[in-house]
Amino acid sequence: MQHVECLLCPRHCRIPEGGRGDCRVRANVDGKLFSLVYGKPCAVHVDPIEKKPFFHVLPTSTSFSIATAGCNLHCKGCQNWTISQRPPEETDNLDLPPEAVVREALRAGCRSIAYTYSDPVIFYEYTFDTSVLARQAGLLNLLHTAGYIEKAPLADLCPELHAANVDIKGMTDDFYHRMSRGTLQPVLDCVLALKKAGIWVEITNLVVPTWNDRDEDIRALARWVRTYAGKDVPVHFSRFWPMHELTNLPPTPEDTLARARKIAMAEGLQYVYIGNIQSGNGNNTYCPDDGQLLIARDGYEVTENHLVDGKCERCGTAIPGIWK
Amino acid sequence: METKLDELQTRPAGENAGLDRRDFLKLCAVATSGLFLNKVSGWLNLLAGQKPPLKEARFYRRADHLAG
Ligand code: SF4
Ligand SMILES: [Zn+2]
Repeated sequence: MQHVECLLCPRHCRIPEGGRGDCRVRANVDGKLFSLVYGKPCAVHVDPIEKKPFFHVLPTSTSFSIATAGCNLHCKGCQNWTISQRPPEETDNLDLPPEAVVREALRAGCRSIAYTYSDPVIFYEYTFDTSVLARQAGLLNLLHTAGYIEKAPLADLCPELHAANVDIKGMTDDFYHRMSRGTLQPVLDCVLALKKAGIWVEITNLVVPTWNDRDEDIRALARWVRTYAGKDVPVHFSRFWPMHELTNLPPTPEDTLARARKIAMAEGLQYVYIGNIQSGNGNNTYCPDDGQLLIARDGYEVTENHLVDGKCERCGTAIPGIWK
Repeated sequence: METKLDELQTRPAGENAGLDRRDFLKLCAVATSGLFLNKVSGWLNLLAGQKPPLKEARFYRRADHLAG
């Protein structure tokens, strides 16, 4: 029996011959580790970039979004569990090698490719090879990830990336353990490594009633972001819909999300958004200096844009992000 | 529409039969040639150097030294 140890994510699965890793998509075949989902996405969509969500990257553009089956975390409230908690045999997969992804993205008029929905960490090789080609073709590479990845593979991927939205699910190991069967520190390390590599970072926090919706949960997250990542890192508090193993819970009340936004802004964060809610102030970008409305959004649609060359049209303050 | 039992019994022999021997042999021939063509295309892919569907992963190591 030739075992292999996968070094891609902090789980370090030790996989016997014929076996698979915890993510269900990496298999030991004759003592070698193989990806079972390379070039085999089960989700392919042209989405508004605002849906990823990226609010400070090429507003109004579309992003060619792909995902494969599998995930290395197992969140009880996963909003995409029908693909993330399935092996590739149980999803409908396309044959779309990296060059076809880039070709189709260009054909659809997209400005970026988003590796998203499940988690690009577990389709690392597919993400990597596609990113290289996409960059050469002038497309941006966007990652939406839970950030549960080892340092070495992340460092290799960073030069190909332009922006990342990282889910920080909670602020304690205990939370990660109970909700996702994971740990917190690798996620925080991932955020910092991305920042250090000069990649544009936004953060998403899925606010799950009774799990992470107390004032102190929100405050801890906001403080960490402000202290270690920066007060200008956008944070999206996203609405939870009852799913997977948490169908007993209600959707996150709008008041809770508004409260989260207020707390995070009081902690000094400059760009705090509310996700999965159609409209309201939480969808808009405001100038941190004079409060001027800069980008108004209705759902995923941009209805007003008052940025001029990435600056506030009234006071000239530069708003961080990738604007062109 | 319902088919009455006595109607069925008065039909000429063979009209209601599923497959006669000729049809069956024809079907077998088509299926066999399909399988054969599939094999041939597999050989052609191999000759053309097309990769098998699996991709070797990065970031792993042999773990025979580990216990358990
Ligand atoms: S990527 Fe998959 S196989 Fe590799 S360590 Fe993580 S869960 Fe295990
Ligand atoms: Zn301003």
